[in-house]
Amino acid sequence: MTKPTFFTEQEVTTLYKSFTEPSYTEQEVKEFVCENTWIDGRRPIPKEIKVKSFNSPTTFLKYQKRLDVKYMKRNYGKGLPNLGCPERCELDNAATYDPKTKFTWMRDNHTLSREQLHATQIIWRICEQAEISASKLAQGGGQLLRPDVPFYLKKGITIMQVWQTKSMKYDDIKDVLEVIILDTPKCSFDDRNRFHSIVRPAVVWGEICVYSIHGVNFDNRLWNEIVERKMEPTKVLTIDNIEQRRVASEYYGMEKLWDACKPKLIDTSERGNRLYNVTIGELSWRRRGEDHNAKMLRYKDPSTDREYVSGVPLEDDDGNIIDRADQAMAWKFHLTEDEYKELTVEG
Amino acid sequence: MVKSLFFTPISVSNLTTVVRHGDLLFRAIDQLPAKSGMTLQKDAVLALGEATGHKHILVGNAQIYNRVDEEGTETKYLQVNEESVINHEEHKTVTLPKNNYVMVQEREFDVFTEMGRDVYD
Repeated sequence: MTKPTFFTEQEVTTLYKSFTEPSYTEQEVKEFVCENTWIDGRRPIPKEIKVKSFNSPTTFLKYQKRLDVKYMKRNYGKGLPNLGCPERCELDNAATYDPKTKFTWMRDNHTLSREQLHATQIIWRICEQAEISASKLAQGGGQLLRPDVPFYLKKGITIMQVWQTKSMKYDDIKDVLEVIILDTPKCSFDDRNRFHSIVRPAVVWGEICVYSIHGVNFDNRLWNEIVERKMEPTKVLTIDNIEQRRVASEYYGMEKLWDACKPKLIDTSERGNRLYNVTIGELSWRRRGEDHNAKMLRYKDPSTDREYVSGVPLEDDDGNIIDRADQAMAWKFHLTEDEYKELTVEG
Repeated sequence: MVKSLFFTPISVSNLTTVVRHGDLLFRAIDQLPAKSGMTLQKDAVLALGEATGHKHILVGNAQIYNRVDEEGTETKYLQVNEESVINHEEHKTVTLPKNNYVMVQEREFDVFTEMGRDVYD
């Protein structure tokens, strides 16, 4: 097994084109099936090829199950239920997914381009978010996305499965094939190829919708409140999830939000941390009717240079009033201020 | 011959006792808690971002142990046998010298509930 790799944004640019609209024709699919499918060690000699497409994984799975049952009964009768789906035509899968580590692994004897591998990861991630069992989708040979088949990627196909509708015990040598296709999700991306849309779900896959702003996911309600700017500034600055808070703040305009909190600068440190006193309204039930003042810290992540806002308490764990920006930052990491000053390895 | 102290190699682990990686901090400790009270983690994921899907991953000759205290709080301990690295999709890779570490999650103060809580993404 080869260790998983992370990719630069540029390396995956070409890949994303396939996650917009499926672009295959029925004729292309038929030709692909004839050239790439194996039946008992031979290529199919088609008499008839039926092609059925799905844009929803749920519907696809239901239909897949129906075909499994239908052709197993037709070809083998009811007596051999454990034979699986012998008439489903498959190749070895090049990439496998480990749901525990959430990695896609490559087998040693296969070479996947980075974009192909990344494509599998996109699909797995969408499956996870939509709580669809990716293993179930790939059941029976793990054909999920078949990243080693460029046709899938280029044409916007997630899974293609082929059934031989008759077994070879019949004299008729010509094959009647049934092909089912699950389209790739329709995705919207920002200029850095992260899931992003402020007008529609960033991912639509049948009934599955993933709402995302610059690669950070939201539930439908929160996403709506942000894109329609229905949230009060103080609420945006106190969204629980820190990444959601950051992208929402950037969407609203950080300085605009900040000004609404009537900030008073207490201290700035050499490391760029800034400690403020802010007014966050009267949202606390205990303080209804009066302004609620709090301390907030603005700081940048050392490796991404992104700016974050976090609330800090009035006092640190030793009961000392927090009045220095680095003291506040040290509190955030359970460090003393001296320890924080000695912290030099940051990524 | 007297060796100059200036040329005496200094072990990296003596210098690096605290390493920050995004919202995680790794503090060197002399000894791990008793292994009987901990479970060995099978994967290398130190933390997973719920909203981003990004992961902090430990790569190298190292083990991650999880210890749950009486209040149900889980703490991760790292036994780094050889210099290892922590990767992430967006953060710079950092090196952890050979040592034992406790992982500390960044925290913040909820100004409405007036309670401290772990930062999560």
